[in-house]
Amino acid sequence: MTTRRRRPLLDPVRADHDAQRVMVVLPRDVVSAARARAWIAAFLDAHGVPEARRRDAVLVVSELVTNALRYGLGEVVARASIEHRDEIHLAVTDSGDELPVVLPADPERVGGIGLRVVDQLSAEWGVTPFPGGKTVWATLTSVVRA
Amino acid sequence: MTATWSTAVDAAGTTRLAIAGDVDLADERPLVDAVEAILAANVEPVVLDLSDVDFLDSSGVRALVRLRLDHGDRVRLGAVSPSANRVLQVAGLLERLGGQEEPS
Repeated sequence: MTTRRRRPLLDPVRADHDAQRVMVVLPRDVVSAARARAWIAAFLDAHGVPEARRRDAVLVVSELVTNALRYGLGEVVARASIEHRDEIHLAVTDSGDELPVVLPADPERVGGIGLRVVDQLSAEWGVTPFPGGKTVWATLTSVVRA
Repeated sequence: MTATWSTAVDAAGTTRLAIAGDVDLADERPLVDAVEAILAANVEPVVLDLSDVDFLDSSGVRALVRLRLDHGDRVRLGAVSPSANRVLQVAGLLERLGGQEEPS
């Protein structure tokens, strides 16, 4: 068996590689969260994103992909782009139609921690439902939120 | 699994579980199972040492929360790496898990 060398940041078909925008399709597997982290870390490294913001973005991707695996349906598609020079846009899509909600902090509840982390670390986040699924997105900016 | 762990028992009989690497979705259940196996075999508490944890997300936090809810003070948080500490702080759970606020 031969293994093809993975070059996650290059589109194998398009000639005009748009390295500002990347996506990855992740199978429903518990290791997909780790794969998503490696993928976003490589993208942000290629763009010279500073360590502290890279760390936050990696954590947000891990949370979004984990939620899609834990509560969603089907394969998970993660997309990332850098807009306006230093805004990191992250979006994770799955085929589940149940929309996530942020619940108030409850010491007796095990769940709900992931979205709270996303809410704390992102400038903005939201859910876009569509027929057949949903996208949960988050934007990280260099502006520190109060 | 992306994390590894090993155990050591000190003179007082306390088991220390040292966790290393990335703690995420793949580790949540195995970690809870590992700690509960120790608890089932001992009467002494288990101390979770997170000083070699490179990455922790809400799945790892969930494992810690579940263990505390189900076993109370028999599961204690020991040393915590800076990156794990940050996630516990962001999640607003550091104090509840028996960890210590680090001066920043």
